[in-house]
Amino acid sequence: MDKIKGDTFLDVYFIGSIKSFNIRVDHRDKKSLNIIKKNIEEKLPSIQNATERNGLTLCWVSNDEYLLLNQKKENDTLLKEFQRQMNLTTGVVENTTDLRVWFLIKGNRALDILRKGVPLDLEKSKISKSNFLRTRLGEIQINILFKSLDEILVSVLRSHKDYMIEWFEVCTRRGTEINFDL
Amino acid sequence: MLNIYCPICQRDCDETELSCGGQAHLIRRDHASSDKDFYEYLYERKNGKGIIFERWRHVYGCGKWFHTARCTLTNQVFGSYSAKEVQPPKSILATIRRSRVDFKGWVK
Amino acid sequence: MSSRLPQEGSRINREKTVDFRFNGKNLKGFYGDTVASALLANNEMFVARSFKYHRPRGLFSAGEEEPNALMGIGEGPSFEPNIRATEVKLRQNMNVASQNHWPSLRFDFLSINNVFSRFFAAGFYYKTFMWPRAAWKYLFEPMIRRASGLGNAPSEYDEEYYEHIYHHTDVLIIGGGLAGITAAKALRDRGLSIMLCEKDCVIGGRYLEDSKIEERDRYKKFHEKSIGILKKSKDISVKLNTTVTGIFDHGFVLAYEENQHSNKASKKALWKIRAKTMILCTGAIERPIVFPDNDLPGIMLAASVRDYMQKYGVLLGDRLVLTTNNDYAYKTVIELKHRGIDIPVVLDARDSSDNPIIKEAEGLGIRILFGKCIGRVEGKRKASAIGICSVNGEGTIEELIPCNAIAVSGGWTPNVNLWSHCGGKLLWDGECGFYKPDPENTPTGREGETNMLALGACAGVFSNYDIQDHVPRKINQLASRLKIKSKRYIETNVFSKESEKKTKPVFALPHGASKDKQKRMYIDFQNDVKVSDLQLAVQEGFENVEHAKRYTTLGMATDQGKTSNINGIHVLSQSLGKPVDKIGHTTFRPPYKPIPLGLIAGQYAKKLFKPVRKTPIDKWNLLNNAIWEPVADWRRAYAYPKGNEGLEETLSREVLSVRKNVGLLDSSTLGKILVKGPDAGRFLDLIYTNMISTLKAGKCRYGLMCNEAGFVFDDGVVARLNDQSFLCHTTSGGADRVYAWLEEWLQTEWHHLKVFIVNLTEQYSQIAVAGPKSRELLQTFKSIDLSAEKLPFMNFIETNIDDIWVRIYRISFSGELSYELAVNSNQAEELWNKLNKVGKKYKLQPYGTEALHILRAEKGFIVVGDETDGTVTPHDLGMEWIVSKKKKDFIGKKAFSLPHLNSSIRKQLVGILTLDTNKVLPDGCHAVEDGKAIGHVTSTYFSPTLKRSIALGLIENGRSRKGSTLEFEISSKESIFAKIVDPNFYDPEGAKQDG
Repeated sequence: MDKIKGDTFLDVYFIGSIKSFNIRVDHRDKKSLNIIKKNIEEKLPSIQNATERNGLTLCWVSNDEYLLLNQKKENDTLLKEFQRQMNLTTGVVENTTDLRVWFLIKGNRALDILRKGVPLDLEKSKISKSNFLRTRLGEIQINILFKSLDEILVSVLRSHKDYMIEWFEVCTRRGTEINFDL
Repeated sequence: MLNIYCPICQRDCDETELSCGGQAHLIRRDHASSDKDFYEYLYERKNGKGIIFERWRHVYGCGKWFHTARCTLTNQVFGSYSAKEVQPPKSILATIRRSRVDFKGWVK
Repeated sequence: MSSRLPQEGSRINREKTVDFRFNGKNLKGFYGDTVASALLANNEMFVARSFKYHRPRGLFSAGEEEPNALMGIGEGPSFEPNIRATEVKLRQNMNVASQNHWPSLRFDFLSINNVFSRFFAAGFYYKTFMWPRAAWKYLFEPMIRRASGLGNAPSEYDEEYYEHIYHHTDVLIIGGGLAGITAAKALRDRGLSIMLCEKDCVIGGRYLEDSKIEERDRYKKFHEKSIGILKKSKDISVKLNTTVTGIFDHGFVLAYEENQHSNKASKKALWKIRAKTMILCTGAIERPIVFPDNDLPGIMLAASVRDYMQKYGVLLGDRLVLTTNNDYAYKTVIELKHRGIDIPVVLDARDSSDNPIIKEAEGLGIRILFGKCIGRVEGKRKASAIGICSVNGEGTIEELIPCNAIAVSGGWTPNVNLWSHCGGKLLWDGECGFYKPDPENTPTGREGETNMLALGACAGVFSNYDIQDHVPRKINQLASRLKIKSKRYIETNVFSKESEKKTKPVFALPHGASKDKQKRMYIDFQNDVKVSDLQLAVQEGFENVEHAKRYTTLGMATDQGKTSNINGIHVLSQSLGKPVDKIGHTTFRPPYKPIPLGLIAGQYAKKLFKPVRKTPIDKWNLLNNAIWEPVADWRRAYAYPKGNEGLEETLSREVLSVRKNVGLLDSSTLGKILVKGPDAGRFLDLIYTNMISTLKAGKCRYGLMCNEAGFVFDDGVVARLNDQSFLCHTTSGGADRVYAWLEEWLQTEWHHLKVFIVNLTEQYSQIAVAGPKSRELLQTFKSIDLSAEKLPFMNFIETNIDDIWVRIYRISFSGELSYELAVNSNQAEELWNKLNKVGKKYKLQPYGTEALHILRAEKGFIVVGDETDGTVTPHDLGMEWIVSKKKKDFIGKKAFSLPHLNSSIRKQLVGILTLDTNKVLPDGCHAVEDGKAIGHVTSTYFSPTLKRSIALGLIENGRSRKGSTLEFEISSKESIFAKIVDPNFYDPEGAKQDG
């Protein structure tokens, strides 16, 4: 985990790839839906949320798409089988590990840094621990997974890695904190 | 800068997260159609002064298409609904009528 | 003569001196001064020249409404032109320069414009500079370019750091004066998030400065208590130095934060705010009375005179007269009198006024004349005396009064710009003589609901007492309308009830001013628009307020008419004999006041301007001297020059190495889309022009995509992975577009099809190994058997190279024996390095996109975007074979049957060989026949393989012209002749790629 360089007002780490899968499933197809429920998570995440169990994070992307993240090597066999089963149905499970890179933002101004590029309402009271958002940061698309208000995982397309690092370097410089007066 | 509700993500989106797809409820004319119908499908579009129905894609988010009803004079938005609807649903038309008494209804 | 008072000045710190330069002169000011106050303190009264006539000008105000004192501030990378001196805080060693004069402020050659002003009346440029035509290039244009514009454009890159910040709030209060502060206090503790933006560096508006001596302590206590409440309240976020500059749809607001004394890295931020409700508390701006010679230095708005004194301890002059039509302006002369300044006379345009403040002024010995105004001002560069005349009549001078400062007040205009930005309408108040927000026609939000409430002076409520009374009431109403936790807010009114006789609106005086005087009565200072100009506009038929504005340029300067719009509208109304509310007003547009371009860019400048996409091979490319080519957002290697090679040498080496040995290409940018499901084949049959569903697993097929109008927009190889899965390749630039296209059809038209797609463009990188030795090279890795039987042309296999998983496609874009290796992106660099190492034996050369294009052009293969431009059909390209005749329906089928897409004069793809083999046709040049352009060149190169130039082009009826020679016009002087041939120049049977 490399820390973004510079005198910054919070810590941003470059993590690299996290093993991930893109899941497409038709909710009307009970067969494929059950394969997910049995292997990954019984209670599927609600809109804009993610569930976590045993190193597997299942993130809601849209009404027929999930992003699955795996952070425990022990799950590899399970996932291989899961992928095989799903691909026999109308659903899809496809390895997308390499297509994005992840960063970790840590600090009590973590939300602040997102406010410099994300047009959404990031009010502390409106964010919960397991929120997963896919939205825009400045000029590029970004995935945001909230571990807590002070610990946020974000990912961008692999080809945007250098751009994202530069964006962080510029926008986290000490002295550019967002402050109110009085 | 419009702020539009995405019915799939169930949240408001900044216009910068979306991509506009033009007129909604077009009927696709295929190989069996007349030349006239086909020409209309390709090139003729409404240019409404007032309530229009248009398509949006939440390109920076869920990636899904949806429809909205919007007034081009005031930018009032009367609601967002599924891209699968071939015509504006009754609930949207009712919302429009509530604030625009002279609304004549959706014309194909 | 302006000067610094020995004490006083709430904004300045007399312990900290600041040095600065004005037009080369070294001057001193205090920390807290604005450039304006520091200039006045140093007796710099003549600080500018007007735009058109180059008239001497001085400071007219103390705020953003300043029309005259526009300065160039800073040097080199920090230089900014057209900055209002009243809005810049003085900084150590600041360089300040006046503008729009040559050679200097005092001796301005262009002030000759003033002498000939008769010929430079409004709209003069519509009537001049017409003849002779030849004079335009050498005389008029250079002359106009020198004279035009106000400031000088900066010549170096703006080094300022700008940033965008998003913020969402339930309530946005715009303005931190009495109305804004009261609104904030009234809205707190109701579960709302509140943001208050104040453009100044402190909140408090005018009530402290306006307070009478006996009120001072009471108001100060109120002020401190209010600040304490705002500080403590968790609901309220205050931003100082932040000017709200534009109101847009659905409660979107832009605000410009400019923190001038900060050492913070970020000094300028653009706040992008989304507010559910906005409370407009922007106050009012003082309006002048227009009178003859009213633009000389030494003439200033009455409240501004007082502002300089109270905030900066600066005196405009020690012998001051006041011309006014309202009681409020008397505060200025009373305060000055208290400080021992001589007030020879006050000219009040009203018939009479018996308010206490008049009595107070009289009590101090001030001479007040009612029904009088200024008929003339003496002085060339500074006011030195005024001539008194009657308000009625043509302005005969009755008495001359020497003075060195003139305070002007015609009343106050509610600051309604922001109300009007997004749909709010204005109401003309004839009694008060201004436009104010129409509460029946407010700006509306997304649901059509009212989303702005105007309070305080901007709504026409001026007295502090009235504001304290009406704001809580309006807020309570708002709360109940919004159905929020409504405890009624009550505040004790600490302000004194003032009795104010209604202002009698006057605009230009004297009422019957002679034509001669009208030529010297300035309405819009910045654009030098006089009363006579407006009358000229009416005379010439430009009666509509929009026309009159544009003809005279009234209100079109950088101050957007803040001190001139109302006066202008009224003069127009008089000239037309129409009531003002029938005249209307022009449109207010964002920004409220000028903002730097850099602010709009924010942090998205320089390196962050464009998100450049880089492949996994990018680092290697950088180390190996790659020349970059932008392809969509990607940067690809165009070529890899070695040593001192010229470009032609490099390309020749790269192309020939593919033809003779083996080359290596990074094609990671190609789109890769997985299409999976029981209906995948059916779906792809609808998307491509050819048959895809018949493709067998393990095989590839080239496919063409057209839009509904029948025009080619993408192409690529489709690989069938298994029964239900296809991997579709697209062009690099088309990946996202094709993905969106497929999703659109699946979601909005064919949602009954059971198909899912996944965009795997960046999951796989792709490396091409191309050339006669490619098979040999790849087979050095023990695990693969790539014999012609094992892997025929247009097939693929999955295997491992060492322990790297690869999918090897046998496809060729070069026409040679070639393989494309798909690998997971995280291992791409490793694979690339392995291939390079092993390839040394075979003289492997990496090649870039240009060599790639030459190779494919030699084979006549199209590139979407070169041979196609959105108007080209498969038939035009000679690719009838790819349009299925069996398929019932697919996108484009109907279009292909239309007559105009089958006409014989359509441009068709041909090969072009110049008669002179060394001449390379310029890209895009036109073929000409009988004086008509009949086609153009779409791709053109020097072919190292054929040792001559080659080109592809689209020529009318091209296929029937094979063998004939055409003329290609390069310029009016040069043509190149070339033969039309079949587009496949090299190995037309395709023996090499099939090997």
